[in-house]
Amino acid sequence: MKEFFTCCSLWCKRILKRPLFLLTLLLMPLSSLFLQNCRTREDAILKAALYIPDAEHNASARELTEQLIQTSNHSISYYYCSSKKELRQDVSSGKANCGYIFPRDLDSALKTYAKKHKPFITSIRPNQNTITSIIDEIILGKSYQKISYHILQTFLCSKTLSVPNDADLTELFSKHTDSELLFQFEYMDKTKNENLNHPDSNFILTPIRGITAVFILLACMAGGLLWYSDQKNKLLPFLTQRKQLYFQILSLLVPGFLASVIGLLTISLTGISRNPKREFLSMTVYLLACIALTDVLRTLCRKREYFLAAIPFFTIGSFILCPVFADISIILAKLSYLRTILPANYYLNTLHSSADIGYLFLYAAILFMISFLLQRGIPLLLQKLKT
Amino acid sequence: MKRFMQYIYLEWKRMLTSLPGICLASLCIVFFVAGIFCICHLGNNQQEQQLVHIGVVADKDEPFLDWMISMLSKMEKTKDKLRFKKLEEAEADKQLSERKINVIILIPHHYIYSIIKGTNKHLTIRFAKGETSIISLLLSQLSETASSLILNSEAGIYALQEYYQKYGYTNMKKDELALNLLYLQEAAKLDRGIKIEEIQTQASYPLISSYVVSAIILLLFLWGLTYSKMLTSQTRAFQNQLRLFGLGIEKQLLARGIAFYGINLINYAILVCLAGVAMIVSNIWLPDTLLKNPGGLLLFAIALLPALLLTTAFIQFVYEMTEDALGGILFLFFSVMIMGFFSGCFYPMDLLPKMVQNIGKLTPIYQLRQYGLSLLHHASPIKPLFGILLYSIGCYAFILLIRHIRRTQEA
Repeated sequence: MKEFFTCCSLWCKRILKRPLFLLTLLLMPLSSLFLQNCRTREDAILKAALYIPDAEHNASARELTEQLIQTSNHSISYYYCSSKKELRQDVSSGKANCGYIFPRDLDSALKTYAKKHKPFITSIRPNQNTITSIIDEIILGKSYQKISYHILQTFLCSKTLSVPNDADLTELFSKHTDSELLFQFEYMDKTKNENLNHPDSNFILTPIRGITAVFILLACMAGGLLWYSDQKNKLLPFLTQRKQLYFQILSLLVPGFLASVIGLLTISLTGISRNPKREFLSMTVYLLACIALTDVLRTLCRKREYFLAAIPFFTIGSFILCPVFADISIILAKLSYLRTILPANYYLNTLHSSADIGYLFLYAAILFMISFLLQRGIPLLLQKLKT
Repeated sequence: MKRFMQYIYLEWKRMLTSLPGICLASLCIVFFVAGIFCICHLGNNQQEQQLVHIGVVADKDEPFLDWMISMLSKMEKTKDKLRFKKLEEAEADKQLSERKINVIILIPHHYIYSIIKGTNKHLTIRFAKGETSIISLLLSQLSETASSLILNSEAGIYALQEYYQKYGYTNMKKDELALNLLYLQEAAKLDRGIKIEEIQTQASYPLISSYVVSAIILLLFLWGLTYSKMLTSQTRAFQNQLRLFGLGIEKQLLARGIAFYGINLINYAILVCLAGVAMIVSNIWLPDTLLKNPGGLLLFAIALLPALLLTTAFIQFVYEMTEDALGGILFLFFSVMIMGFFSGCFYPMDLLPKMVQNIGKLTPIYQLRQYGLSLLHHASPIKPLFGILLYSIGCYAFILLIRHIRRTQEA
């Protein structure tokens, strides 16, 4: 036990005496806090420009565009342009993702649309893509209240063979209009998907968890480098070989543990954590998995150069294959098999799936067993075979 | 001069011993990334992979459900993009976790009846895990649109019912059904209301070029994670010994920098050869850019050498500042990630807040990206090249400053 504490204090001292290591750890929550608070009211991921010709005499178009502007948030923001030319320039320069030109008389254009389906809005855009199509649907959705009224009016004209009284019909229609949200979003473990249930959530914080995961793996691997110099310097000669193996795990645990603590702090400070107990459990099992992977790599890579070569492989691999910024398996589902060797893949799934915590634990257990076999099991077996 | 050249040679020889391991990593990463591109390229040819598979969970006797699924599947907008599957909840969750379906729509008991009656039960959309794409964030806005379509259609139906009751018209049930169908048809073809006009945009680079250049730049930086042994500072005693031989701090750093750049050049050349072989074998090129053929790849690789200078200088600066492998690796990784994020390597820069964009433009990675994109698209690279050279000089100046400060503190 005394040896254990001696070792622990040695590993802690040698890590904590490196000021830049500590500074890097502190930079993580600081930069996340900066990203959380750097948005101003004008910042939005997508911007749509709006133009109303003859705005003073175009009350219904003004009403619709004001509704759109009021719904502006950090996902989509809408703004007025003073002329068609300005709108086209903004779209062309990339200031706006797309622009919408409303008709001079929106009411009559909608009426015509209900009867003859003639387009009533012109959309100016660089090219057709999914995002601009979605903005189209949102704009049309806002116009739909008037469209559905005109459809009803046209229908009644055709069925009753008389023109319905406008004021009367408007009163009946308005009585039943509502603006309730009929959809809710959730994850597989039935927890609410707060990112989608609140449209103003901070998009740029979504990769924080993934970056933290890769950072922790890297911290463990960087800790693994110290083992090579320990081996060369024969740092723990007073310990038996078996104890040395266990204490070497500690040299991976110390930097990994510090990085995990900072990672948990970062996740909770930025508010992306929804279930603190689940976060803590996932992080603990993930740390074990990173230590196990690093231990196996260290055992397999007898030379420090080969171990160093593995570091960018696992780091870059985690960024590409694991859903840190984007889920590459959307392009091709088979790619998800490749990421089964990476612990970050399981960690990013554990938050909304209890089964994945089990998989992550199994992953760590298998790797620890492999490491044990390579370091103790196989050499013992070979020794016995020789004798 | 002779001693200086000898020292460069010695440093270079020392660093060369680490090169095989680094080249092994180059080989693995290039094959790994090329393999992913090939698989994606082959996979993209299969149309089935482009579809979004939606699992629908509802009661077996839910009225109108089969009809609605059939209608949605045949809509012009969705017939080539969406596939619906009716499933039990447990089976749907299993398929969602295995990524056989992308999303589940849970329809509550007697949902259609609740719409008709106006009680409007809520639909639940279930995801496997957190979504990080921009399109997924817009789903909440789309759900408002869908809610608006349902509720305003309902308003029309109720208004019709009251109107018929008020004025004593007959055939209310028949006309109600007809209006319902009309509303459904109108909702399905609502995009007829928009006339699209596409315009030319001012020089903005395509997203694929942007990601290719970002990947190359990040790879050149993250290679520094393997260089810790090469760039560990010599001991003070050795540095003093070199000073006695007439090699001051400046010459020591210059010699080290030249040796390191030479090694990096070899690694870079191997990387370019491997990338070239991978691209020729897989026949994946970027048309309308410099990377449209092997000759273009060679030209691009040569023109990108100033970028190699900056990445070399920055990596050397990090290890000189941290003085150890552990701190160096973590600081390098973190600084590259932050700079890459702010410079638009991961998300397009115009999606980021203005403050982040302004900071991003000051980072060396931004200059490198602009340089790479200018080369790729035959634009003028002078301005970013100037920025790269400035940053490189800055890095070496900082290294010199750090050494001087350390010497002064020790003295």
